[in-house]
Amino acid sequence: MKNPLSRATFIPIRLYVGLAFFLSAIDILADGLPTWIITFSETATKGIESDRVWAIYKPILSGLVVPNITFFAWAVFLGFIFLGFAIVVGAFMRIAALLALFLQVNFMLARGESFLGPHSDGLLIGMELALILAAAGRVWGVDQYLHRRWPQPYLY
Amino acid sequence: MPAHTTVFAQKKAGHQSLGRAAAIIRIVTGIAYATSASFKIRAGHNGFTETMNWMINERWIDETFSFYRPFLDAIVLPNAELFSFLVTWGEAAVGVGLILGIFTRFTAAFALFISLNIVMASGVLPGAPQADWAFVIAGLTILITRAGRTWGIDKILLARFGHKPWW
Repeated sequence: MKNPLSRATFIPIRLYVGLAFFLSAIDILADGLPTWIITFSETATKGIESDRVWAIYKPILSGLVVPNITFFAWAVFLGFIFLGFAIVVGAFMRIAALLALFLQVNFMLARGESFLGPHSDGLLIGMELALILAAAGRVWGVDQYLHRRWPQPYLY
Repeated sequence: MPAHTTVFAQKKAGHQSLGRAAAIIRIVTGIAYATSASFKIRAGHNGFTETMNWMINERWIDETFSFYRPFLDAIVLPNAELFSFLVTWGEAAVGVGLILGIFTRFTAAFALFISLNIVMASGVLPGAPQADWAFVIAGLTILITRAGRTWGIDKILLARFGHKPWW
């Protein structure tokens, strides 16, 4: 029997995760970046006051994110664009999926959601972990060429 | 070490990574279904029936795919209690099945069926970054990767009974 496990089977996951990030950036652009900075600031401020947000994460919001809100709003927006694009085209997949995972965990902590809830955050985190493990850009992706030219296991 | 042995070892390691990647997707999807079912069970039988009626009649009223609306109006709403029971316990069964990795392909097909029905009822398009499509994509991936064969009971079933279509 032909083995069903191949990197190609992870392409739907790659496209979904990449497009989810990329379309979030398009939504931000459609509303305008000033609106995004205000929304981002309101979310972070609500997180500091919310009982749902983990106590361990509140000092990060109040001491680091809120004082530098414009920087972080831009960083998240650019992260959506570059990570979304890199994951869709399969470029530097392992590093891109790792950064996407970092972003996703931070969103989850900032919203005070559990890792085990019936929402999509936990599922997306699992999908990003799977993309890292599967090195999913090596099929129908830029990583296929990068790996052939400069073989190494960690970046792609 | 001979060159062919190194290539074999690399292929085996790569195969293990893919199996683990599929198992992670299976387990997080199972946890999401199980927690969703537990919320519905805690809401009580009537609690979820009311929520389901509200979603179909109000929240999704203008969004449901047009070909799916007659099914909701003619079959689901008149039998709302039955369908809320089926959704709740169907999600619970899928959640447990996926977490344990037992009869995974059968369970994943059922998960895919549930998530596709939710997508058609909520009218979410594939391009939108919504949770509903994440469950469709995850179900499809679990189905095609036979994800229960790593960190799952299907590994034992495979060793005992050989290849079968449902694991």
